[in-house]
Amino acid sequence: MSRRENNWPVALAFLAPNFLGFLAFMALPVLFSLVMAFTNWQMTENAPLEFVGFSNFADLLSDKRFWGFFGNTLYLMLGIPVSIAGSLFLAVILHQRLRGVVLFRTMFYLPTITSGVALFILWKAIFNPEFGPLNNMLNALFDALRLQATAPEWLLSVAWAKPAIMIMGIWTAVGGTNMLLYLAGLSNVPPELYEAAQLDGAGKWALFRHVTWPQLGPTTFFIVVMSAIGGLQGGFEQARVMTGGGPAESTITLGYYIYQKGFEEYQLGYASTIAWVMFIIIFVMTLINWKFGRSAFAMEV
Amino acid sequence: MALDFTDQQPPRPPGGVGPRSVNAILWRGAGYVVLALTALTMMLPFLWMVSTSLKPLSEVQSGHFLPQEWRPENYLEVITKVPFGRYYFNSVFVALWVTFGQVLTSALAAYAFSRLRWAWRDRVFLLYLGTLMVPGLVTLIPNYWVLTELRLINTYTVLILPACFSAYGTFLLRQFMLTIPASLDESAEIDGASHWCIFWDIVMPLARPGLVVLAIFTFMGNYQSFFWPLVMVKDEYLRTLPIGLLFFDSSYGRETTLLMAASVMAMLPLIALFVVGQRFFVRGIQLGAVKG
Amino acid sequence: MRTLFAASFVVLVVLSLIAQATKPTRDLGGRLRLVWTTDDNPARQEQIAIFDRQFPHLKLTIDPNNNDQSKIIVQTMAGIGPDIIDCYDRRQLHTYYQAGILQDITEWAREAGTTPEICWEAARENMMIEGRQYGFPTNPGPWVIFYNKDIFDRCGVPYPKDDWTWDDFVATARRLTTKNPDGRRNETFGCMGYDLMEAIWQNGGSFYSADGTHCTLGEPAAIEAAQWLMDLQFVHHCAPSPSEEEAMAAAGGWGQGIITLFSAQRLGMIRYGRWGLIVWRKDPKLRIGVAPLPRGKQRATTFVTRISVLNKKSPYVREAFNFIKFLASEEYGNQINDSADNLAPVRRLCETDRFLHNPRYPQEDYNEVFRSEMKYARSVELSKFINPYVAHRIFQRHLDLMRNRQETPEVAMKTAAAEIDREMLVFVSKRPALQREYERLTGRAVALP
Repeated sequence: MSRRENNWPVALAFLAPNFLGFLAFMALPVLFSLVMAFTNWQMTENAPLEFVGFSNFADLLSDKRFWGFFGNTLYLMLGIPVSIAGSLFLAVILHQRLRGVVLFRTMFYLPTITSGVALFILWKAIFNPEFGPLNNMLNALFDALRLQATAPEWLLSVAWAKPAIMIMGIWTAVGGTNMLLYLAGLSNVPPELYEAAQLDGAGKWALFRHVTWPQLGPTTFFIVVMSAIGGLQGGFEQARVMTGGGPAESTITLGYYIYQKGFEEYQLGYASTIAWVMFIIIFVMTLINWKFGRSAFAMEV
Repeated sequence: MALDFTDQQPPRPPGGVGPRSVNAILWRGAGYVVLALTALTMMLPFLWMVSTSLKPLSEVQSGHFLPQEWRPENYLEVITKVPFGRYYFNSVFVALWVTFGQVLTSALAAYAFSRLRWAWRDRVFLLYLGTLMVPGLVTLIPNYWVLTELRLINTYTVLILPACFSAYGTFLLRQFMLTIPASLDESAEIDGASHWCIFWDIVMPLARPGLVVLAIFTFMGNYQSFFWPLVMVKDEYLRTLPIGLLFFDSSYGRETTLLMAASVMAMLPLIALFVVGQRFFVRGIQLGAVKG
Repeated sequence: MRTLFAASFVVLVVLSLIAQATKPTRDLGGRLRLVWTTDDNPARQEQIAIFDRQFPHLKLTIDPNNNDQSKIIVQTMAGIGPDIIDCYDRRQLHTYYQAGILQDITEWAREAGTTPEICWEAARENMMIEGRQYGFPTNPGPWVIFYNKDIFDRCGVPYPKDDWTWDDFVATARRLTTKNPDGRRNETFGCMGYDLMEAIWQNGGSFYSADGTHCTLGEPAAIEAAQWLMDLQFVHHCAPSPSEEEAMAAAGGWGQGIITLFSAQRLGMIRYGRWGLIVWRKDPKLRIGVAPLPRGKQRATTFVTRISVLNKKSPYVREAFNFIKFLASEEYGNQINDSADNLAPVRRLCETDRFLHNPRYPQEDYNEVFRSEMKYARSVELSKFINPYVAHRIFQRHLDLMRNRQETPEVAMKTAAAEIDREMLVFVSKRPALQREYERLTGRAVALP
């Protein structure tokens, strides 16, 4: 076993191809943006580049819009647990021996393969407050129940735009990447575990709780971490196409804010600062995941 | 190692109750209802795209789901208006290279992060994870400068090379390799196998579901990649499908029907790939079973 | 597994060879290629043909996919930018200027006679910065009111006169608004697309004070204008509310939506530019009239144009200047006039009978309106003390809140003005030279709250 204790020459050899590219195309630009977070870098001004110390960070702390958009981002992230649970649920059903599984899996995956723009245009039509199928259904429901309610204006309303985007997000994600990951994870669970547990007389729920869930630990950990990262950085494309960040900036997320500062207002120094504050937030979240994930998702690290 | 599942006898699913019990039939029925309902809503956008792609432009705003007047010529128009074949080739070509590169480098790195023990392992891994946490938009410009210095802007290489190294893929495969029992390669090591052989002959075959999943994600992600090629290439002959589709959604006016026809055509290889890729999931199940 | 990877590698190498082999060789027959980033309006092909005829040693190509401000700046800095760039408004011109990529063409233009003097008066501040010329307009024009004569006749409303007022406009729009048979939705709306900034100008207001040191949206002239505009929707119900607009625009693209709504007989009047005719001409049943925007306390409309500028870092910038000569040529100007892409940039070409009465479109008897409206056309206001995109964003946000009835016009305009003023302080406090100028003009020291 001594060969396994500190095997860095072998590790280096295995790591090298990836690590070189990683340095050039990821680590270096990331480092560069870190340096820029401490400057007044403005792509469109003739002013000389100056180091401004922590003043960008100080500005950010008192930037009400930043905190507002952080709130929007967290709000939209509320959809993530729902969508992960949905993916797991669908994966468990699909994993059973049912007819037409191939067809179902393909159908669930369709939203993920559909081009983003086409999807967003479609959902815009669905959310159309007057002619959209969603409100037609809601209004019919209200009429049937004799309720004096009016259906929300969805994307046009400050209060409903975020839930609308969240619904779309859940719908798109539930049968996509995460479901596939769970399916792959489920197929890696050794069947003897189930057999052993069944011999002990475990029921369906007990099987899931004590065999499936722990065995899916690494998968769940991966999904949670990546979803949290994606959620914090996301929200840009759909908001840009569907609402333009509106109404009244209620759908602007942090990712969108970076775009706005960096590529609409050309304050790249400040945009880098936002990115790095986001990085700190995400990093802390991941560390928490890492610490608690080991027990919660029964990880072996 | 002696377990051998054939197609007729796949592994017992979680909670596999005796097939004839009433309970099982109820469960099954409920499962089908949930699946069918979900599938229906998931199909809608695709059907809508197909239906729109067959309408004349004037009908786009009409409330009808099906075209009143069928117009399959839209597809012909797409092919004649832009070099669609070249876009197809470019998208597939670039995505294949990236998939190959990313799966290979990620698998190698994941092996180092999951099957080997070395000082600083987890710290270097956190560094990898860290780069995932920095939003891509701010690294775009430094990336652009690096690539300009390397004289790679506006070439195939710029579309392929930087995408071959992925922290995401490394993370994904590391998680998969962690589920492979350590006893397997330990015993191989005792038999005197080199790490190179353990990697190719033991770990890689067992990590197959993970490799297939990563390959599918990478292919799809790159096939649909928009922002990177948009910024990095200029010339017509280098354009991939997502960039080519922009032609129908320009500032001058959106030709919704042609955009949808082009999108449907762009999606077809992905659907095909997915249907084929699924077989490997099923095989993955069997391979996964062997390790007991 | 090893075989699989090796085989894949071989296949990929073969594919790479194919990709290289099928790479097109660019044979321009010895001509020099100039790249122009603009949109792919079908009229561009006609324009390119004219240019290539005028300058046989050059080959002009458009690059609509790279027609994005950020991309242009980044690519130009990396040395692969286009030769000719279209700016879509004054803000863009200033952004490129500040990014340091604009070629000063003052001297060349003087030699070639393509100076601002030959253009429309309002074009000058769109092609010049601090007394130097940086570009040339491509297709200037005013915003006007297009109206549907059939709807007017059906409702028995007289056509608008050239000197109509806000009150006339409201009365007309109200009478043109009709309900569906079921009475629940509007069959036609009186008007659509009225712009708040134009209303503010018409009411005697402005965005910035004359010296640019503060935002004047909070003043009564602007608030009144905002109120008037909101009343069109929520009191007179003759303009679509945001949700009605959204409903009508449904699945089509936005820009196209509003054009097609007019063709579809859903709008009595629409604020639009002359280029709307490119689409509407194709519909012989549509009977169109054109009137100026109505007068508030005064007349005003927005001057709209693209402006072509040259990339200073292009190795062919001197050759690219031929494009400016082309824009000033008679052949190009007539093409713009005839195709209704807007008005010829050279004013003289719109003072001909050919412009007023195009024999191919005899029904278009209103071209005089476009020409005379240019007298009242104004450019987007800018202040050097704030990033124009920041100011625009704040304005837009409160406009949204107002249109969603979450803020009254008074609150919206006053808050927008206060926020913009604050951003100005932040902006100048980071730029010492501007701060000195700002303090000199306002007579007080900059102190951030």
